[in-house]
Amino acid sequence: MSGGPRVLAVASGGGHWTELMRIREAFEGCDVAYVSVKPWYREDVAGHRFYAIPDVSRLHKWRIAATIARLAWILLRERPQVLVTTGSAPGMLALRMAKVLGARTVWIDSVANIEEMSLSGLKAGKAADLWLTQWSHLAKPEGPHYRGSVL
Amino acid sequence: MKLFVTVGSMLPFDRLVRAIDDFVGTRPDIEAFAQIGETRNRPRHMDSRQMMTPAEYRRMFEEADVVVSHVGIGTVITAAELCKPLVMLPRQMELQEVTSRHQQATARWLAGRPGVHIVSSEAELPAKIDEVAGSRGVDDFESETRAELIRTVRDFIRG
Repeated sequence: MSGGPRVLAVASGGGHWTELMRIREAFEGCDVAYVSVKPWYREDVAGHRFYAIPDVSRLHKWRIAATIARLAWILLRERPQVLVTTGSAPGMLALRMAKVLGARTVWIDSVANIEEMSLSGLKAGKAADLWLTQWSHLAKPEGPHYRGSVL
Repeated sequence: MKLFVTVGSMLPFDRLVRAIDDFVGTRPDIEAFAQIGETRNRPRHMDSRQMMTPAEYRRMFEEADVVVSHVGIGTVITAAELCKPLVMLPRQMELQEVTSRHQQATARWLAGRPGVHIVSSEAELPAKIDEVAGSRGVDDFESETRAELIRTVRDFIRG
């Protein structure tokens, strides 16, 4: 579709997906594909490739194998050069797996995490090449860093 | 008055849905529609859906005079984009309505923002909805910080 860098943009449902949509201008000129947990989000990104995956969270731990299998299939098919995620747990899994496959990775912790980083964000941060919080008061010299917010 | 109720998809939010359903049952002048997610009890006095597509969601949002919701960031962003007044009740971890305390923190941050009306219990919802009807909506967020985040991600991708 375009000759730009191959980007995989991943978010779980609700606010995580809304936040990803608020920064999609960052993917202009890229060959971008989207991944989320609700099949009907496809209509938000009409004209781009979209993949639905099973949701996984502290509430749905048993789905983790299915989520990992689906993400592996997507990553091998898309071979992204860059992975960008706004969380949560599925984004953390995708980020770690993409890293193993050699992608450069970006974690953007949700703007909803005002007083502390999310657990997923702390875990993913170690693997992320660019590790961001959306709150300047949560930034630290070693990361996460603050570089603006979706708001 | 048209109400749109939305509580996301993670866990049930019976407290909010039941309070609005009871309220709407006493008020023939209110037309309400609810996105109830995992909430177990189906409302009797308003139409409801478990989930909605983005287009349906936006349409219900646009038609509403007041939006009643949990403290979800997606809801806040949509309210700001469409300039709708919001009445929000935070989910509580102690009641197994959410898995962390972030909604309370978000509520503290949002409190006082024009168009956002946070209540601390479901009993306050009816009076607050009547008070808010016809008032100004949520201001859209200033975009300086968003532009910075977009630029940062774009520059990183271009490497």
